[in-house]
Amino acid sequence: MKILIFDTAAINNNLYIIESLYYAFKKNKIFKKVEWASYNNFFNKASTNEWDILVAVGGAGADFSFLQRCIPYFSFSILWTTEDPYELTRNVRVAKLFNYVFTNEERSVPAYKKNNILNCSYLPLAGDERKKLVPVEDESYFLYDIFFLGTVWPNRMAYLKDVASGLSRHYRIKFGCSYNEHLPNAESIENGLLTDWRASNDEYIKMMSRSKVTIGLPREFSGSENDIAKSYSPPPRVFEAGIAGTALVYVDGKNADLNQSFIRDVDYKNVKSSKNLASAIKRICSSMTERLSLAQSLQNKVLENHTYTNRVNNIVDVIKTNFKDEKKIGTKKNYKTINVLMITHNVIGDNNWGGVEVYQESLNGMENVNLLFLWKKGNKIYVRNSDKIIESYELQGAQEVDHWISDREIEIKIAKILTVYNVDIVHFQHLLGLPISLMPYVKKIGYKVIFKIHDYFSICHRFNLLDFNKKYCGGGSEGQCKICCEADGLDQNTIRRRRSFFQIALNSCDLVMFGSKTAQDLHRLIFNFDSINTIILPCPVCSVKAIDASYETYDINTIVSKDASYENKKLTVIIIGNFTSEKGADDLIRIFNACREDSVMFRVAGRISEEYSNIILKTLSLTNVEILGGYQQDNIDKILKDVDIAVFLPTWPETYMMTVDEVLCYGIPVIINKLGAPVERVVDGVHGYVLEDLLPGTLFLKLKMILSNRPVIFDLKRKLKLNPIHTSPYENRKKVARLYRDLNVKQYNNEIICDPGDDIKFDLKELGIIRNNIDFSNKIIKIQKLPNSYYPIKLINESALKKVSDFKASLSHRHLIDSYDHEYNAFITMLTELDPTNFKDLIVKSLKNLIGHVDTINDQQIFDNYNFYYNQSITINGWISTLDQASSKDLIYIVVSQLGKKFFAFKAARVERDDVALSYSNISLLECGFHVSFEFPKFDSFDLVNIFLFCKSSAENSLGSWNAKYICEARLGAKPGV
Amino acid sequence: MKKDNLKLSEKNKYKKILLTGTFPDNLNGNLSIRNYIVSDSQDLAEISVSNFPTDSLDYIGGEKFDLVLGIGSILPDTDYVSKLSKIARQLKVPLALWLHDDPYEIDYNYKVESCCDVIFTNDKNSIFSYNRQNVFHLPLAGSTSHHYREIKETQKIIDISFCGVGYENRRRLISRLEHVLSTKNTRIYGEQWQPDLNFTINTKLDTQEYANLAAKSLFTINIGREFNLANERNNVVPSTPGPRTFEVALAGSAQIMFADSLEILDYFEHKKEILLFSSVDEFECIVKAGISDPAYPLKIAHEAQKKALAWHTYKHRLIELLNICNEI
Repeated sequence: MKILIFDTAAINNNLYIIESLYYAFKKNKIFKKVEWASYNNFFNKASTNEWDILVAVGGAGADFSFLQRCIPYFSFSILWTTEDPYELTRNVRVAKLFNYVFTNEERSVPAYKKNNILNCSYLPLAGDERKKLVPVEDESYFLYDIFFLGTVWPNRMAYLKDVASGLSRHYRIKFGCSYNEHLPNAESIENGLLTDWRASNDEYIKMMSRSKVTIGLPREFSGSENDIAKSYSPPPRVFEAGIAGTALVYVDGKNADLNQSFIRDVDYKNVKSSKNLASAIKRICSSMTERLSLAQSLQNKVLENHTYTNRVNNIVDVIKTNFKDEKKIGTKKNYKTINVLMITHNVIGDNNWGGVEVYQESLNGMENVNLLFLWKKGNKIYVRNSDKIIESYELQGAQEVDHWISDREIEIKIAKILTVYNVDIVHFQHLLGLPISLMPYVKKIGYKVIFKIHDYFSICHRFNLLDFNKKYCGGGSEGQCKICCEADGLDQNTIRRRRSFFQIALNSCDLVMFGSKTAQDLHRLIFNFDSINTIILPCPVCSVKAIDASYETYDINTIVSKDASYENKKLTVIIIGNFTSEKGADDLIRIFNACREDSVMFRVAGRISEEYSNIILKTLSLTNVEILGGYQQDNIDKILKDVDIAVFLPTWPETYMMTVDEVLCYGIPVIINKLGAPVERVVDGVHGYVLEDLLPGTLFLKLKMILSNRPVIFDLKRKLKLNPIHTSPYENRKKVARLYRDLNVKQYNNEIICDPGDDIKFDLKELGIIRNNIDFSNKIIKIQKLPNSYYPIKLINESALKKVSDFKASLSHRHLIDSYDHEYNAFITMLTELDPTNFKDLIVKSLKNLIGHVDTINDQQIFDNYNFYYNQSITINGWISTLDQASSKDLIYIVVSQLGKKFFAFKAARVERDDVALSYSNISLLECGFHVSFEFPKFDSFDLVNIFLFCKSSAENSLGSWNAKYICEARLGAKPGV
Repeated sequence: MKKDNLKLSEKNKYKKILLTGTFPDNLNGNLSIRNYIVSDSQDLAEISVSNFPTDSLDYIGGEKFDLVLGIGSILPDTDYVSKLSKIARQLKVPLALWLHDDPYEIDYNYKVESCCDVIFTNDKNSIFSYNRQNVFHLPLAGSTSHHYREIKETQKIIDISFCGVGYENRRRLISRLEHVLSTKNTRIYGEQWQPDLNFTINTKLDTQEYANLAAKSLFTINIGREFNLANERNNVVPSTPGPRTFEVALAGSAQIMFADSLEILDYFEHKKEILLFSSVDEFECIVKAGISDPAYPLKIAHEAQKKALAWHTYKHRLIELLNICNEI
């Protein structure tokens, strides 16, 4: 039997419970395999489909929708709650999903039964016998006389104070009191005690062991309004005291449930008041025999009945009685339709499109596969089936940035779309314009992921691997990458960040598809594919006419007679596909030029990028070039009519190049250079020619050779017909459909009904993948263009630092303020409330021609977030202005935020900047510099600096409104020293 | 700490070690750890350690190694985890990572779920959070070549010192001890300390200065760090004492440690090699007694130094690391 333990809390301060349980299950022979999972890796583990039992531990912190997707992977599911009765309401709701429920509190059982959860029983937490320490009598062993470690709920505070003040100073007291702003400060317990510390569970047990007496205090507090604030069942601390071999004094006269498990005055001392507590402590401290007796008795009881091994035995009993090997989930092999969502950067339509769009469209029509397409255009996400757009979603705040890693809004939106359309597999075609996070994200919320690699986007933002000189870089050396990044105005480590994250994205794929070995080899140079399934699947010829053409039987004599007539005709060479520099346009133009005098006509079919159509081709007035421009796939037979040979001179290692196959289908031989995927399949002298190098001169000579011996074309045409290399879309669809089926997708149990509010609400970070930046480039300073909209804003008080602690709206540090309207407005409202009198009716609007820069923070030029040290004193220097209406009266404010939750605002002083004025030859910029120095009220960190410029508008609003806009933004992290 | 970890396994397979960082060196404030390893392992004749700058990782060439060992943090987005894994695969040798910022950055451990063969974490209580096989505890250490100072009573011109960043927990603790510290010859060095305390000097000391400070101090306070950069998921509490514990022991100062974990007793014996305190009174007693009769703190310093030299240098850590690698 195989068991997977799931920690249902995304944030869990008591991971040691999972650890203890994990080792207890491992000890039990009935289980062949035991593992544990958190949200981060649950589906990585679950999707192996090998598990029998799920034990979800915790309960209340669980994401309901996520759990719904988890449970069907198991034959039998168990929930063990750890926070009853404090979280009873939420636990009961989640519990409905499980086959069996254990609650940590006996008096909570009726609440489950009342909600029709009949398979429910009490199972308290326990002690971990691996941590057992033998009770000791020897005085010298003890470091402390009295010990307490825990949260100081208000009821506990009173007891601790009384104990500390009621005992003489020679008692060695060790109190550790976790508290927060809602709880009393435990430093007030007693002047000399240092209570401000926490300890791991192992250390906690060691400390109890080396204390003569440990105090046990009940908790009377619930964070949940509807739930009971007091538990009557023994808390885990009691069992842990037993494991530690300490003498326990428990303060709670009415704790009847504790007495069910332990015998008062034999296993522990029970006291009702603080006065009794002090005297009990004194008595035990003075009698090591009594101390040993209590400790030994408690430990024996715990070891006998209250270890995690005991609890696992209880769970095993339930499993044995209730287990049925019936998964609620079946493989979809047996089901009719698989729903596949293609996430892509573009579809065939208005925009420029190329091979990717054609390829993905060719997958339409797979048997028993329902294909949907999703892409983003502007601020909208579109979903389309094979015919038409069926839905569009407007994004509120997501702002596309280059080198985009993650965006919460898009992630959550995609999760919803996946649920709405009951998607089984997400097939990524291209992530240009979308956050890369989507790949690991959808995997982590339980979907199968396929990634079809069409170019080198994973390796470099220059996804053709053409460097700053437009030359193929080889894709490997990061030294070269740093040069390119500098040329692109990016931080040198941009590529390192990209590859680091893409490795994570690739690791989350169930299958990575390459069109060619070339593409695969280049990716393998960079990434580790050890644990990633990959496949090379050639792209199909997408034109139906081309396929038909390839199956035509043709009369060789006709070809011969046609060839005979070539004597009087120019050699027709086609250049088909987009005519761009990546496709070799620069070299081709040189060849066109060099062949002016030859009997050759070049036919250019495909979109021609502007630089070539407007300037080069027109300027050169090439009479030997026939320009057809963009064409419809349906017209390809006309375009290829009477063509003798096709030329492909890509400057980058194409990952497939479908047009080569298409042309060959029409019986037209090809000339290719020695670069990229076509080299793998075009056989020199059979399908055409493979040039020995990448020089245009080599092609020029090859054309000359053909001109001098035209019958070679006929020879090639004959050979290539006998050696077809293409895949038909039909065959390809069959293969892809097969791959989908082999992914073994799951059929979810439709009986589970979601509440409308049950969409997955976790973003990538909450699923355990955190990044320091939203993009790979880590552009510290961003100069933003303004949207043409007006924002209401009021300036905050100029005089002093303002802390806004009650600001609840989370202005995520991952969003730019000006694009994130609703949160921005909340931020502005906050500022308004802060200082309602100053700067009345301030209007903030766009400023034109903004320029500026944050030069240094604490005298450091910030080139990477990692090197910045937090400090209480912050000094920021820079400059900001408008080119056309700069005035030294403009106000500059610095707003610093801490993880998007707290904001501090400061007015900056003006500084002369003759360097800026000189550089822009504009004297009005002389005072554009700013300097601000401030102290945080306490040692703390910040991660975002916004610079706001407020200009008094004279022309547009005589009432004295202000125009403002922040233009600079510094994202900071920290790396303190040891 | 097992006794057999003092000696490199006779069957050691890993003789040539490629030592490098887990993120770009130009961003790494703890590069010195790699230097400590190299210099402390000089007398291990059986092995050779090549310290590779991260910028040179593309140029390893045809050189053969038996093990790739990456040391550092995996917090930066620029981490080299996938790259090191790629290099190790190409060399056909295992990849070991020694991550020394646990648990403060532990939420980033998703990066090493797979991709490496063995992980060493500086913090014992962080092991389980990795949720993977082959994760071992390996505390940081002191460097004989960099931190060791001969103990001389006449040099003890400072009563109490501390050197380190003034994290909030440390500042709170020092505030509580202020009335004791201010009446003694106290020096607290490091960034972010309250300027209003008359014994704090907001200056970062380099390794040599810091070891000299400890050598001159009768007592050195040992306070752990409580400053998380990414430890939200499980709020892991560190249990292993920081590297300063071993460094100060080598430099020859008696340490008074605030006891928030007893794992320290796995390394040093209470009242023989280290002194623990839990209250201001206790601290005051120790300090007063020690200043009036320095023989006891000096004895503690000697004993701790002896222990550190015998057990807690980077040579010992490297031996333990290799012995573990040999066993898995």
